Amino acid sequence: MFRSWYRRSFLAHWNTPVTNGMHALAFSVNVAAGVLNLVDRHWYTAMVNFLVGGAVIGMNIALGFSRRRLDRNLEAVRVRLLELQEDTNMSHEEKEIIDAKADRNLAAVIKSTGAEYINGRCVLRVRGIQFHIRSEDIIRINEQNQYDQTCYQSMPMPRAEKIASAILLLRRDPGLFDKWKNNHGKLFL
Amino acid sequence: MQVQLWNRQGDAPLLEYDPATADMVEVNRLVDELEVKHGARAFDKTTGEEVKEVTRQTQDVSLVRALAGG
Repeated sequence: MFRSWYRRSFLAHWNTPVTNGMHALAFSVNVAAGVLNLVDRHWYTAMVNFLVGGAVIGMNIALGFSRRRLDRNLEAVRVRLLELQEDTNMSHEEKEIIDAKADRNLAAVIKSTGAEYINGRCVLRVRGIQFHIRSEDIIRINEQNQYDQTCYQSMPMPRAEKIASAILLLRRDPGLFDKWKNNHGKLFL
Repeated sequence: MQVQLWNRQGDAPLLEYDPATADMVEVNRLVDELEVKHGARAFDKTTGEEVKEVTRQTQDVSLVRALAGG
């Protein structure tokens, strides 16, 4: 429980000017002290100083990754909330009609692009590359059987049409996969 | 014929035209405007190809909006 609270609280505050300043100060003081201790030949104390300095840097890198993961999750939640909010304004029948139409659109796209629907995911083959597309993520398997994965987001639309959009865009430009993978939150066509 | 945008409210037709009589230059201009407005590309659902120019033979034009990395 303490760990969870500490992580949440730290993630919320670690990237402020004050904490960044404190980290920079802690790093500088420890490195300076380490250098002075080296000059005075106090090897163990110098080692401790450098370790603490390294720990500050390592902590910042680790927290940076955590923060990015947290941002990604928050963005996914935000989009889902937006969808749910719109869903609540629709009757069940309206939603069924829209989803059925989206399924028909996906079926048409699968047929026209030569993709296949296998075990809950659409498999698209483009220039020797396989894309396994679900509504949450895309897996890429290249000719050397190397595996890569990315999440992707759309404006609010039925899941079937989100998959259909990814199929059409990837078929036209397989390089989009890398853009989506490396640029969280940025839109690409 | 319709040009549709995929969205959560159902695929609202943004543009309707009669391929037999419509001014295709005007149709293409409007489709270009819609692409810019919605940050989308026009695709033909029946061929799966991007629609660079709408002709009288083009069917089922759908505007596919940009997707974001995640």
